[in-house]
Amino acid sequence: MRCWFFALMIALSCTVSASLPARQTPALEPGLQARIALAQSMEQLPQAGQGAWKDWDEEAGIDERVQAQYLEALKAWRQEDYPAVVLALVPALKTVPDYPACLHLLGHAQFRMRRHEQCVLLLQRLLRVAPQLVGRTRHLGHSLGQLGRTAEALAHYDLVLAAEPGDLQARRGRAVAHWRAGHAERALADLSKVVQSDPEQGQAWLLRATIWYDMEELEKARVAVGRARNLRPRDPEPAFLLARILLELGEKEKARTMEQIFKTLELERSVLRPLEGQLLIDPWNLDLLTRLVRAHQRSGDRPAARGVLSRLGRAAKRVGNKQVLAWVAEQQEQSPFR
Amino acid sequence: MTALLVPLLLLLLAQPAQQEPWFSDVTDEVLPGVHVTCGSVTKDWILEVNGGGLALVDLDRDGRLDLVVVDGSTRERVLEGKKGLPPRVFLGRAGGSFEAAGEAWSMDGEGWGTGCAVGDVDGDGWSDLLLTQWGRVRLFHNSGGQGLEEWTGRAGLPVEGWHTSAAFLDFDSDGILDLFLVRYLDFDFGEQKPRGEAGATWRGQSVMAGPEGLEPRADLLLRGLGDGRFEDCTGRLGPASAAFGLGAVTLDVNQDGRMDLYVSNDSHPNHLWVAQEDGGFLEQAFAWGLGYGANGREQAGMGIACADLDGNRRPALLVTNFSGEPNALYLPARRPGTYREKSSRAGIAGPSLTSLGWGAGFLDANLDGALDAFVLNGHVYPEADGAGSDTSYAQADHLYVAQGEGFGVRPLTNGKRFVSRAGVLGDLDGDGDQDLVVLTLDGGVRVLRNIAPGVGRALVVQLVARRGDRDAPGARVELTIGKQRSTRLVSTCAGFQAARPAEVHFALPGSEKDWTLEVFWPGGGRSVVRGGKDSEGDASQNGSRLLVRVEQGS
Repeated sequence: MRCWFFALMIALSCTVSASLPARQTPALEPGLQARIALAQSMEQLPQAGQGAWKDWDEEAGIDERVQAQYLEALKAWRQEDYPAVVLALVPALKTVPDYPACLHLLGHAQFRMRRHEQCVLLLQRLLRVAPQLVGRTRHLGHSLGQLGRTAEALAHYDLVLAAEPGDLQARRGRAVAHWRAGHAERALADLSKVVQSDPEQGQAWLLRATIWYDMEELEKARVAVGRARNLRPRDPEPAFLLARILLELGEKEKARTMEQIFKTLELERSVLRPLEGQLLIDPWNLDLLTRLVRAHQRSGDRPAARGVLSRLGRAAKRVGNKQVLAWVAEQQEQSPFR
Repeated sequence: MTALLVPLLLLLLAQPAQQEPWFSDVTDEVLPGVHVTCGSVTKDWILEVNGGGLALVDLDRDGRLDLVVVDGSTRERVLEGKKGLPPRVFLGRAGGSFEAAGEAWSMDGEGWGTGCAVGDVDGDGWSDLLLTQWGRVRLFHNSGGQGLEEWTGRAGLPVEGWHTSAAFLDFDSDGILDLFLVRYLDFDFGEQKPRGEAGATWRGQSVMAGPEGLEPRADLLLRGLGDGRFEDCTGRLGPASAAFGLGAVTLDVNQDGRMDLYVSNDSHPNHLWVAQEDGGFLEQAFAWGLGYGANGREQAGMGIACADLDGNRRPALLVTNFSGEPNALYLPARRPGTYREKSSRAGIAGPSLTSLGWGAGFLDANLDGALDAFVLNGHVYPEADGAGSDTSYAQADHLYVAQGEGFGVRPLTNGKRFVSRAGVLGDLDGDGDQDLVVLTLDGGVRVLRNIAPGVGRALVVQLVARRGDRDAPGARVELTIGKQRSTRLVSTCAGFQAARPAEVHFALPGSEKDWTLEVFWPGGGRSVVRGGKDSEGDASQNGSRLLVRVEQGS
């Protein structure tokens, strides 16, 4: 269990721009387990005193009183079963109040499920008992941003970056917050550092393009959005922005073509996004997974289809659904990526 | 050390300061006990969540605004074949209070009432009422300020469907009001399933189904014939996909003198209908940058506010959206013919993220010359009160106060939470500033009196056109003080299921007398009124309110 944070931080590489599904989606009722997990409010967990874990050493391993539950939660995390993470860690935190490793993982599970108030609550508690872990809490900034608490997000990113200057996701998050606070130049400065460190950061290129477009610096925006589009070809947002830029540059034919590409990608996303949102809280739902596989297949995104197919296989195996297992095998047989 | 102090300082600044409200709830004094109903409180069906409508209009021309409340119904009434709850008229009285109007103004209940529009459809000089419903669209003729007469039977209006907002405009410049009708979706209690059976979930909770999965309906355009009758000319609208339409405003997006239309669509790109020379309209929201959010995502558009914020004659649009989506503020870009969504930079995105917005409007709340905005909030799902929703069912309404190049947010009243829907602005007490009437879902109709610390005086302009609707919808009014210009477009369309008074409001700084008012009449012609001289028009001063009535060609 040593270096659990490092393993977890790799697993937590999620995007800043995660946002809520706009509306409900017709889908099956989530499983009972998920419903129990979702009904739990984190406010009711027992609290440790301020600074209670200030000497806690993240390298020292997991407290044996909660080790089994933590391992169970970590396994669930890897399977993208966030409700199960909640169900495993809530009893652990009742046994050892505010235990840092559990608070941290639970906060991230809430972030993944887009339950940002709960994530904020947990990660703020983490900082209260173990302030030395501030460098591990960029998701607190992300969630504050998602709740529209921009000034608080900015302040928190500053703290994270003071502790971990190399955290590119925190830096990108701070750029988003600067942008929302109306500080375009500061946002661009952060984004410049991000793409210098990692030129493959498509989201950073897209935000740069968005800011320059907003400032009506169309040529700069065009170059940046071109990079974003190369890095994120299935993302409708760069296509949208590029279509708008081309239109304003007077390149009407190219703009019209890009608008069509955007609308195709947007249509695909409008199918995928609600399914993915549902799966966050109902991860073993065979119907949702099957629909997601088919949606990826229809859009021609074979790697994504293959990934979900494999997850569907695990889900079907879990409940012994031979029919679905046979379908998964059949689809995998047909995949040119085998 | 500084690295730590700066974030702490920012955190302190982020805490909302205790602010005196700029609006005071005076419902108990001026309009007690007026409640509305929109289905069950558990909200099992989508028909039960959008609420009814409002209009503020001086029906009897006594100089005081009257209030029309459009009520809904219940599933039980529908299934039992009973009429919906009746729309009600409340006549304005001194001091901004209302009293229930007598029999002459009564209207029968019929379908499931949703919204209201106001216009003089027969050019007799009196404002008529158009009511939208889940059911047929109804028209009530104003009989010379003495009462209402239902003209629905002869009007040629749609007889079924779910109509939300409506806008009167004269698109063919014949001096007769035409009509744009916004439609939402196909709904039938017999065909749709309720919450729990429909399989719809939101954040893991079972909720009412829709709008996704239901059939959207295209909007309608009808040509007025001048005698209260209309004929369908939807064919004049160019191609556009049907959408879940909720709100509408009239505007002149390209300053060509023709009225355009902007429609907020739920879970679908918004529509911009740009009027063409041949009397038709083309949908051009994408080209203008008005269809999507800043990130290219379609949003759940609900209400709309529209006004020229900086005096360049180009209107800004504020569209209220679902929780998790920012309200969108579209501002004109430097390049003509295009807009930028600036809600983030304007300080509107953040505070609106956890709210679900409905009625909205621009107003100069404190008469400082800069337009502020109100946004009414409240969720569609009672389940929003569950753990982890990041939002709530009842929400605080917001006032966005102009600050520099953006807005600062403050609670509209005392921060108390409501499930608000439609809202309409009007100077109810005649003191010059604009007050607000708000419809609460399954609750009271609230009257909010403007008590903002006034900086200047109000200049209220009422127009009297020579032909057609005497209120001159579509006229542009410009106020110039020194080098500063402000413009307003005359319209009764209040953005979401509501109708507002046709008068326009400006702010005059202190005792300023050196101002010029120009009126650009629909169909051509211009009138000028100069401060202190009143070369045209009729001005009267009442406290901080200067009323100017301008007659066309006088």
